[in-house]
Amino acid sequence: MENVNQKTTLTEQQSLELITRMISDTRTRLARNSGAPFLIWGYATVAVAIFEYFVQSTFANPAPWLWAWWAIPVIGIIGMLLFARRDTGAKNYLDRTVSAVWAVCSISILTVAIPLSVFYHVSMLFSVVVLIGIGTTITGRIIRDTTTTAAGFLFTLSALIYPLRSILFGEIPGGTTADVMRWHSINNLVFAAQFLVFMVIPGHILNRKTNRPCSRN
Amino acid sequence: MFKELNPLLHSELRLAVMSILISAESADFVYLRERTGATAGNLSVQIDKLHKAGYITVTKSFKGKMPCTTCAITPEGSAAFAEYVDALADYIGRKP
Repeated sequence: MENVNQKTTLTEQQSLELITRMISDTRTRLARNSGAPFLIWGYATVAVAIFEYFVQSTFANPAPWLWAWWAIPVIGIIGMLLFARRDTGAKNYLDRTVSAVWAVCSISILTVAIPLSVFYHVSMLFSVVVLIGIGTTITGRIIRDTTTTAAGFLFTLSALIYPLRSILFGEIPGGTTADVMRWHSINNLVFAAQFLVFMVIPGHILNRKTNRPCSRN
Repeated sequence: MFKELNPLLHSELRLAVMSILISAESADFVYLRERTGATAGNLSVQIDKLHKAGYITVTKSFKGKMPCTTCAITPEGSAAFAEYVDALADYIGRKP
């Protein structure tokens, strides 16, 4: 950063250049690591979903292992707190708007997806993918990133895999809880793949885009 | 007739601070010092001038055990900045 300490009087041209440089520099710095939240939540979800697939398809009584899903918010919240400690020292309206979008999505998972699953047997994976896909699309629109917007839209659309699987390959088999869970365990792999393709990869792409100009500083 | 350039903003460091705050909702003292390259003493004096003019708000708090001074632009500050940029455009546009 050029020192602006010494000179106090400016020509009009210098003033305009200084304004442009400061605004551009601030925007670039604030956009840096924008993909980190996608990576934190994306990797946490992929890891837990693969773990769930493994335990649900292996153990005779996988029901207690369903609690492991709660590892996602635990890992995600710890990751976000660690990420927030690397505070840039400045905040803009984008931070506030994107945070609000994800707060609404998180609350919706608790107030919509969980009750739908418990009381109406709507697949929680379906509801979560729809809600997170919507959150990703809105975030993409706010930060004006085409890759994130497209990934979010396709993420939401990909939720149709779950009902399509039931339609194309038959309904959930009758039998013990373990049988039903084994049938569902494949969905966990699909869920992990969706987060990998539509959240982790766009997160890396976004980080590459936003970090590139700053490497010259 | 040229509009007069606001003398409070027509100073390199104060203009740099205002430009940062116009694009960020708020910024702390350390961030402003790093981005402007100014000394803490000089920056502190200039922030005080902008604060007294009502262009920015200054909030003192703590981040853990460390004191933290956060600055944010006020509506008056935004208006003065817009007026300053208009006046600049006027000067540059009319220059032969």
